[in-house]
Amino acid sequence: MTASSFAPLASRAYRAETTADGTAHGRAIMQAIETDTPLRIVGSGTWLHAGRAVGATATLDMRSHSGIVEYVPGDLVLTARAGTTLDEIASATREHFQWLPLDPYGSGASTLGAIFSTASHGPLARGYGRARDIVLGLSAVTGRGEPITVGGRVVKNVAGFDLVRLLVGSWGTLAAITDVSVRLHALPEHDVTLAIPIAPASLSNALKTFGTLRIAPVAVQLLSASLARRVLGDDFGSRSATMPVLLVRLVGNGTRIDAQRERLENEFGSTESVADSVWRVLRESHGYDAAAPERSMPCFRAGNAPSRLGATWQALVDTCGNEAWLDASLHDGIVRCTLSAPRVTDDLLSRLGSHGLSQGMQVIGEVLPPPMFAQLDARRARPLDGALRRAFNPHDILNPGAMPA
Amino acid sequence: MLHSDLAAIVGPRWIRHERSELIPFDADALPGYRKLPSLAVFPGTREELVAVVRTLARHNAPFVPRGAGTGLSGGALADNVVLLGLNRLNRIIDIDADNRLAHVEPGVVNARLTRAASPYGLHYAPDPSSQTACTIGGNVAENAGGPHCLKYGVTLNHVAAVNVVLPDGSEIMLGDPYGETDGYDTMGLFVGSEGCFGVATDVWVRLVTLPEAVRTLLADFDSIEAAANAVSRIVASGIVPAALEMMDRATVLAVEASIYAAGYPRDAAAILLCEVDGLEAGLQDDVDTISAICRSAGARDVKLAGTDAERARLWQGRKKAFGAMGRVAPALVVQDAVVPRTKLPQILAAIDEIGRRHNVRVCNVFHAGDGNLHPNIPYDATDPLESERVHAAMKEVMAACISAGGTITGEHGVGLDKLDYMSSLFTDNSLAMMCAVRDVFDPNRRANPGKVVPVHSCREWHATATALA
Repeated sequence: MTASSFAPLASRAYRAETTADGTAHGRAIMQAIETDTPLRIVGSGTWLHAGRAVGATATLDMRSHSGIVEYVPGDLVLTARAGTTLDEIASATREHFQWLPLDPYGSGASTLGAIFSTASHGPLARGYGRARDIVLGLSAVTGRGEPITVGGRVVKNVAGFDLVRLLVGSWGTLAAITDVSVRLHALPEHDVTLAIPIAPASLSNALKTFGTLRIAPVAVQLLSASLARRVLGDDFGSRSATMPVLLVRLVGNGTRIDAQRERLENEFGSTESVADSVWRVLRESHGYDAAAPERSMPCFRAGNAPSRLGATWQALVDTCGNEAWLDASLHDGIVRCTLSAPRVTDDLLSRLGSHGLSQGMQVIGEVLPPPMFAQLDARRARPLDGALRRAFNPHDILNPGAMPA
Repeated sequence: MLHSDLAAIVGPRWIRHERSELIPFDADALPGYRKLPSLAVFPGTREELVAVVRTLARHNAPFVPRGAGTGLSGGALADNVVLLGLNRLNRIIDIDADNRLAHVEPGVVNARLTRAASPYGLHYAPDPSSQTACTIGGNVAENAGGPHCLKYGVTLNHVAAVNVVLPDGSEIMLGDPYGETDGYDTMGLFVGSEGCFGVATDVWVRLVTLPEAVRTLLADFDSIEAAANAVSRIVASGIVPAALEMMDRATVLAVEASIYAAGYPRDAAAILLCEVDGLEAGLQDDVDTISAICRSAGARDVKLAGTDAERARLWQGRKKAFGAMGRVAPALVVQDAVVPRTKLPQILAAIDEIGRRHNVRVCNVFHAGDGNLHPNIPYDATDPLESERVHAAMKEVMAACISAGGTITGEHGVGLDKLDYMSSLFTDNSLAMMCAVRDVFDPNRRANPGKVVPVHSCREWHATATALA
């Protein structure tokens, strides 16, 4: 089984002209219903082979539906069309010394629509919240072809039932997101990333101790030695070639950062300041290679309670060993695992599967060929999911198969 | 008979059916709405709760879940239907300090949870002003906020899982206390559903580390506009205060005349109560920056609370402000609109003009940091002319907030009170999808009927699906 067993893309494409009110997308969906043509919703294409195989025969292109609709820096709120990329948002907000602190794994070419449809987040979720916490409002076109607008453009809102949360993470199976309103933050005065090598033997204690420290980092990730060498470069790696590394990101005023650094050094010994580009290298280490799918490295995540992170980490080290890049977020107990050889054996799969179950870990596929996905991914549909899908997308015309049925 | 079937579950002591016994439950914290339930039932355990809901299902009986009845949208009112009181389910089942998670029954009082978490160096962050009485279940139903949600987030950001008994009596777990959720974010959908989707039997909430240090400032201004400008500049500075509250002179006078008097300056046009918290190191820098901003925006004075007692007093004045309105007049209408922060000066000026034009007393006390307004109008509800002016003024205020790009409710919920504004905010399609979602949870529309979404917005989907086939 190799990565080249990713399913081929559908051949027909719908491209809806950009309109302010989503009616063109509505018409495309209605036409798809009439011709019984299930659609795959596509942004930049960076998520196409992540997740479950989608049984579509045509695509609904959202990448051309892009651009910032409204940006009021004084409100720290930005509204953009779903085809706008994260890099485009970063560039627009940086001019006003602001940012959208959402750093999902994958590339900055990913679109807002994809990020929120897949509810993706990265290390900054620790400090700034996940996708569902950052989004304020959405416009979307349902699988009935009808445009809806839910939430709003203000930072607190409880008007009506929370369809924003329902649509975020729905993988395009309820509606095609057309516009997103997000809350921004001011760029921090200082933004410092420290790298702390941790001896494998003391890892479990180090994780427990870390949780007791009086510090408030906005991101903390534990990288396996092989991943640390890739992210930090060989210079750093050669000094601690076999050690996992903690990356700790501190923001705020100078006094606050210095005090936290001191607390970390009192506990762990010396820390090294590293360039903040390490975070981009880290997030691009896990993900689908759109340019060369056969080179995509299989990726999944495994989680358990945060207090059990040490055991989860060890289970993955024991199972995947030197083949894997492991990347754990301390605050939610989730370890992201990228298998560094594109070729994955059935033996490894069965070891992962059985080990996962015996450890009580929850395994979720990220970038995997469909057969591997079916074997590894633990997620199941919940009791009301089918009825919710029928309410929004009764003909199963949008992204059929993308969510557990 | 419904009454006897319910009595068999909870015991006759925990059913109320006489009119005199039901009157205490005919309103929530808004004096303007009174609806008498047909009867009220108070289960004492989760097993009793589930059995009660199943019995209601067997009788096809509508019902309204209710916590402490502190709501401000008329959401927990039962109009000749069964009132289901959750306040007896008040156990804190477990606090998992290692994972910062608390497992509670829905009737646990918000402030009590924070007190119980404090020996672990933790607290429950969402702090609605009613927190000494309101319950976690109610907080979940309304997606409650509070002053400290500016930094810490609202209830939605703190709920990890909810076990729900659906109106048909079946149980469903939404979210996952220790892992990622399978399927759709139905837990996110349930938070803020105002009792229309079912009843929470268990709630798992995240706890947050108590901040190492706190500083509370009081700044007073000669004009509301100056205070509003200070708010914008504090937000733009990059500092995220833990809380940033504003009160106008009318409110300050009401508070200072009451038992909640906090020592606010009576001659200020507006005051700002600003709190920063976090690590001790660097906190003074934030205080200095905020003080400088306030002064350059025109603050007459900026005072720092010196002791815990002073801090508590400053907060009591703010949190009990609605209660203090009772000294001014016996009835109160209060709104909960949220506007973009950059529109605050313009909206506050508009509210002032509307109040003068209709000859009503508007008292503004609100969460300035996130643009969540609370214009309060105390009035005499027995005076029909004043009542008419008050309601006309509030309609205009709401219209101004909506046209400024705001929303009709930031934390109190729609309930009954804001039902009529829903179609100003949402299109027919959007309202129809809200109805459709509700029908997934409660196909017979028995849970808190008539709230949140206007009934006329609900379509019959069968007809639409047939047309498309």
